[in-house]
Amino acid sequence: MNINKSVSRLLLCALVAIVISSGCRESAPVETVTAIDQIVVRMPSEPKSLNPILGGSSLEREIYQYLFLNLADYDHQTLELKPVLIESIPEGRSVEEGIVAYDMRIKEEAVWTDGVPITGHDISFTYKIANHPNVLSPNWKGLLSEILSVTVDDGDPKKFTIRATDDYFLTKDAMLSTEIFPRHLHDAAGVLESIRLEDIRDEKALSKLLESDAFQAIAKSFSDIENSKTKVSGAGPYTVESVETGQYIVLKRKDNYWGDKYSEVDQLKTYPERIVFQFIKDETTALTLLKNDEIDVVDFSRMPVAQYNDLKSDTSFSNKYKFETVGLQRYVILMLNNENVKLSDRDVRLAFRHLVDLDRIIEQLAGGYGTKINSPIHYSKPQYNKNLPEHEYNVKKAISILESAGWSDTDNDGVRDKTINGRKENLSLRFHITGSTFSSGASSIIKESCAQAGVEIAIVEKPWPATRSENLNTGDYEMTIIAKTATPTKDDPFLSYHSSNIGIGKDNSLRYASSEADRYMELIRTTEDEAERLKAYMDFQEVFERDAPAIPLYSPQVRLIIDKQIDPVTSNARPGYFLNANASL
Amino acid sequence: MFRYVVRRILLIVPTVLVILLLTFWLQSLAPGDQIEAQLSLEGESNHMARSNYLDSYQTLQKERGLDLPLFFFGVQPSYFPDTLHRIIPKQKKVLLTSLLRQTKDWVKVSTYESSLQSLISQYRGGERDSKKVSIELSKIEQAKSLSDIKARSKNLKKIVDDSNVENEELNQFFVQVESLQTGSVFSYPVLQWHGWSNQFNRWLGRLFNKEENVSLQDGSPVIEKIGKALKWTISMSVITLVLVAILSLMLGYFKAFYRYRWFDKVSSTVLYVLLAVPTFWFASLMVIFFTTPEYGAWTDIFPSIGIKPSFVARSFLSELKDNAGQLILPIICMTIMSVSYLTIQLRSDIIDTLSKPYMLMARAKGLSDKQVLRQHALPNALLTFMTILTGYIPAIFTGSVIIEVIFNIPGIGRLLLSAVQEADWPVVFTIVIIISSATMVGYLVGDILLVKLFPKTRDSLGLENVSN
Repeated sequence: MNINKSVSRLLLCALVAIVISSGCRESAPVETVTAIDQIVVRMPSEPKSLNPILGGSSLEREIYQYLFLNLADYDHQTLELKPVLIESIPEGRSVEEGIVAYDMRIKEEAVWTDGVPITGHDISFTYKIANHPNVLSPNWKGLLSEILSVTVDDGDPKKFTIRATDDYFLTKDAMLSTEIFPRHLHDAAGVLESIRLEDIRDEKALSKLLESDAFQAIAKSFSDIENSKTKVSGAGPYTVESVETGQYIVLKRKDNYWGDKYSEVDQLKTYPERIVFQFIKDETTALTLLKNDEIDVVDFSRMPVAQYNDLKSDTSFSNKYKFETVGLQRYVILMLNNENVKLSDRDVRLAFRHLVDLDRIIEQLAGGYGTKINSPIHYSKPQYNKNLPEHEYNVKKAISILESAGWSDTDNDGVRDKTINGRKENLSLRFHITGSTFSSGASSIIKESCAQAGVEIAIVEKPWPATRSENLNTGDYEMTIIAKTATPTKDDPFLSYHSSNIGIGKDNSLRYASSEADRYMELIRTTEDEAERLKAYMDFQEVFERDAPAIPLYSPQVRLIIDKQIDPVTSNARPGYFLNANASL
Repeated sequence: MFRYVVRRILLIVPTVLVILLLTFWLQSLAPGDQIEAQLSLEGESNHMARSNYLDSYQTLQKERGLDLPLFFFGVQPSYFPDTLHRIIPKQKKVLLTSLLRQTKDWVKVSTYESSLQSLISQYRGGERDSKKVSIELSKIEQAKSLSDIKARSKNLKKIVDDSNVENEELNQFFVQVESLQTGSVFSYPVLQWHGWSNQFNRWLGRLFNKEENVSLQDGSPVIEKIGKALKWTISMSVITLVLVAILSLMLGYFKAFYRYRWFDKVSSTVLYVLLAVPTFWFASLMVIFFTTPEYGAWTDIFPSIGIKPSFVARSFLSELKDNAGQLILPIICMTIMSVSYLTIQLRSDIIDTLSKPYMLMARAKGLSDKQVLRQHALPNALLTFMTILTGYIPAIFTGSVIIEVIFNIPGIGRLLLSAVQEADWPVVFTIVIIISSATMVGYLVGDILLVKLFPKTRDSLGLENVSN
């Protein structure tokens, strides 16, 4: 056989040429940018959309918070609601029975990217488009359901009044903390201008509106997912400069930004010229890039704690990087199905609480970066009940509770049992886990102590979306471990723990039904007296602690590694750092 | 030969179709509810009013065509209605289907379901006794079997009897539950024609339409997305293939030439070790040791991994040139893995050929060892080598998921992984078609090459029976 020598020579030459032209080190950088001009952040995955109405996950919010502004937002340090787009936080005035009006004015200098002033018409447009039936925004629709109308002042379009029902205690927070969209870019023809918000919500009026092509078209163009990354534009200090699917999103500072005047508002700050969000799936890759000075900010929470501590003790590394731990408003909770024949017994749940070695879980699985909790209300909030008893790991106590509740090992198989409704029930429970390092580790620790008390745990590994859909939503589970997130605003436990929210796909996955707890949750929602509301929060947590429908475990701390030169503002608010604001400036 | 090639090309179409059907069927069995996953935030639905949620669920379901029957036809029991696929959400459909299988009476099941839903909305948010009724109703809603429904309904009746709740509709509901019995009717499988309006047909139609076949992740045309990824994968794979061919040929030859001597022994040990090392581990080690100055300045040989962000539009060639340094390590990793196997294979083939009697004859004729090896043993041993090498051709298009993830290269492997994780089926489907077609075309090209280089292989392909 003859191998064509000239072809192989040609291939060899081409290969050598490629290698030589590339060099081992990059010979022709695209554009040299100094570190301070650009902050590179590692993101483990890519956001689907940068449109807050269409998206809203924490991953997406991490980027669009620099593109869009709210009427008001939570101060990064105090977590209090502070004006951002508006001049001051409005006080509601009662205009008629059950209806409150809020008068506001947009800051004089506030303009969109193209210089068009931000007015009350933009607020009106935002609420209308979020309520459009063809815009997939169930969360926004729920949030804004109490808002009735937005009236813009004829003489001063920056002045406007929002009318809302006084049914829901978080309406004001929801109304002020939603991102505002530019009407002139999304509805240049003014299709929604002549349509009332109440007509979009009214079934009869809506069916007529849906006959209009223009009404349909506006939702279609707004929801166009292809434009939801590249063509998003808000009032925030940055704009999208480039998007490369699967690789990165680059934000660029707006020139002569109107917000520069308001140095006290963190959301309006424009510290770096560019913010680059680089999508890196693999943890080792992210770590290597960090060591090579190619990334400035990394959330190290998913990486092994030992590795984080090693880096922290490495002086060459810690001289260059700042190690921050931030306690975000997030908590890990052991969910128990209260409708399950065994777990409906309060004594079993109480015993179970004593079988969770929380110190070991926090130490071994979170490297000590976690705060023990005993309530579903975050410990950093004023509504948190500080008088609740501390979590106690005590196998003997658990055994004694189970014994006195009639659970004993009658057949000597090592598992406790009891006859309920004429049927012998073994105290063996299914524990659904996602297979993550944390859930596997925590379930093993719990299984170990349960075995000492004669409680059998069968671990079922399943991806989280399937567990949520097939088990939590349908009530076909016994226990699982999940992380819940909260916002800086007051909590509304009604959604997750009220008995009216039990059912297929509803939010009370615990199937917890207590008339006493229900009463406090209803009071939290309905009372206008803040002192009474605060007491209701305290009472609710006491009942929750007494009934133990679930076992709150701990609030994890986010482990951050940040280039010291960057020094962004860190906060308990998600994602824990704000790149547009420098802590020392 | 021409007819053979045409026949093989024609075979690609049905094969791809079968692969597509299998992929489609498998994705329909994927656990979870993709619409629910899309609508919820971090797995929670805080502040989400139930009615808004169901409206959005329905809108998205319609938009994605998931309200349509799965395929052109289906086989289902005779007591099944033809509208079962319209029930939302998915969990509700699963529960009602299970109930229907037990009772075999759709009329009774649907009447029971509508009464239950009407009662649930009536008693929602009520006080005291109404609240108890509401909780029991939701327990009935979640019941998975007929016996569960009956037992929970008994509990509800007890609550109703013990309280002052009076409702004619509730009494009717109890009667309806009583009438639900385990079905004993004779049922037989029915072939149901669903027509052209089905999920598979809709997907297939969109697959070849650039405007409509868009990614669910970012709405960009799938073909553009794949095109961008393919550029990186093909660039790396072609260079790798060339390197693998050259290096394994050279190494195999020299190992055979210096067989059983120290060079052969040492290189064999190294090659076996490399072959045994898992790709992800080897690649991670390369990244850790050779891209950072952590282990000494001399180890910081290669640039950082991943494609560098660009702030200006530029051609792929200039992008490739700027990132060529970043591609060296992944190419080395992919090359080393394949070279080890091919070299070992080539060496043993050459040595095997050398032991053949005609080699003895060649030596007897006075040819030197080098001449025997180069002129006779190597060309004969190349058949297996070329067969294995042509097997690598499809990999030009498929890339390597592990290598692309570890080195952060936005190639086709990484794209496929992320599409599967995000249930971005339009992307998954298109990649499956490309990969399966490329594999078949790759093998065809490989076979043609083999026939051209080794005419005696015509027999094995059955070409003797096919006239030109």
